[in-house]
Amino acid sequence: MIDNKVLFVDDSPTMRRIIKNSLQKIGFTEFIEAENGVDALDKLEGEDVGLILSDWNMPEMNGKQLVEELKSNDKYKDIPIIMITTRGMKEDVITAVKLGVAGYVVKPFTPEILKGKIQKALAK
Amino acid sequence: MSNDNGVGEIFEKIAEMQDFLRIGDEVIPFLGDLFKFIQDVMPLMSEIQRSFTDSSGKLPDAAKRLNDVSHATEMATHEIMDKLESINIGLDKISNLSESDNEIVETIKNDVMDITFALQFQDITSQKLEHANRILEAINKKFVELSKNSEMIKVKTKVGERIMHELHLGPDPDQANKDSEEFHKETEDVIRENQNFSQDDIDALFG
Repeated sequence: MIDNKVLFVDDSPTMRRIIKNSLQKIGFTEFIEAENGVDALDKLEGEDVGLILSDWNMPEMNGKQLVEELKSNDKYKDIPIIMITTRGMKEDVITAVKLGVAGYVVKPFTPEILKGKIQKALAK
Repeated sequence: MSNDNGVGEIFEKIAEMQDFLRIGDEVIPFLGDLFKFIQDVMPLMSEIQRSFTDSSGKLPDAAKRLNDVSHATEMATHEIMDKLESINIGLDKISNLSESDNEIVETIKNDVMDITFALQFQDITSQKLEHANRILEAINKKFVELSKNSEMIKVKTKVGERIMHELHLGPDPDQANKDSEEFHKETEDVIRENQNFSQDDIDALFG
């Protein structure tokens, strides 16, 4: 069992379900789900979250904008963020690294890949 | 003196008229060519105008159908996930197994997890469809702009009004109407193929 509460952000209900399944298998027990960046920021209020997984392409506020918001806020800037996205272009990954994300997973991914990235992000 | 001046003015006017006629001689063949060109281009323009009107009307429907596909695959994916979760719950309830049976259960659980992860295809396909949808919307927007522009040409000048009138009529209105009907029939058939009744709807018709 892992104590960290995880926030995962994806506009696809299918992906949210897959991510939740894999997090449960890894050992996480507490989750917050959000559909986009705006929803994520709303749901983060007053929560003690230890890890954020976020999609990139989302309506209203995309993953890149969400990361920018989080990194510019003292309350959230130290929470490790892993991007989970279909965008595998080099410049996208570079952008994410520059923004300060802790990991980058390209869809489709396997449970092992996600687990590895999470362990690495939490160990930093 | 004044007479000399008057004659001089007349000569100047004659020279101007000669120049004008010379320019006219050069311009008239060009105008002839221009009118011939417009005459040749009109049937093509007319066909483009009609094709674009026919096609642009279908674009919102195509976009809606792409959204329907995304929605349908999402529903189906969640049904599969429900079943997989139910299998997992069932496997968790099995107890007092031998070591070899336990290994089998663990293998099945891992297979279930692999199937769950393979369902990511639904999100990936949806994103690709959404991308195609955005392209369709952009094309539709361009079509609408083109249509507005052609309407503006129509109201600005009498020549424009006449050209647009001819374009709408086309060189052979009967043939153009026939082509248009065929296009609609072709696309309507495709649409109808996608509007199949559900089994429940069919059963309801039989009472």
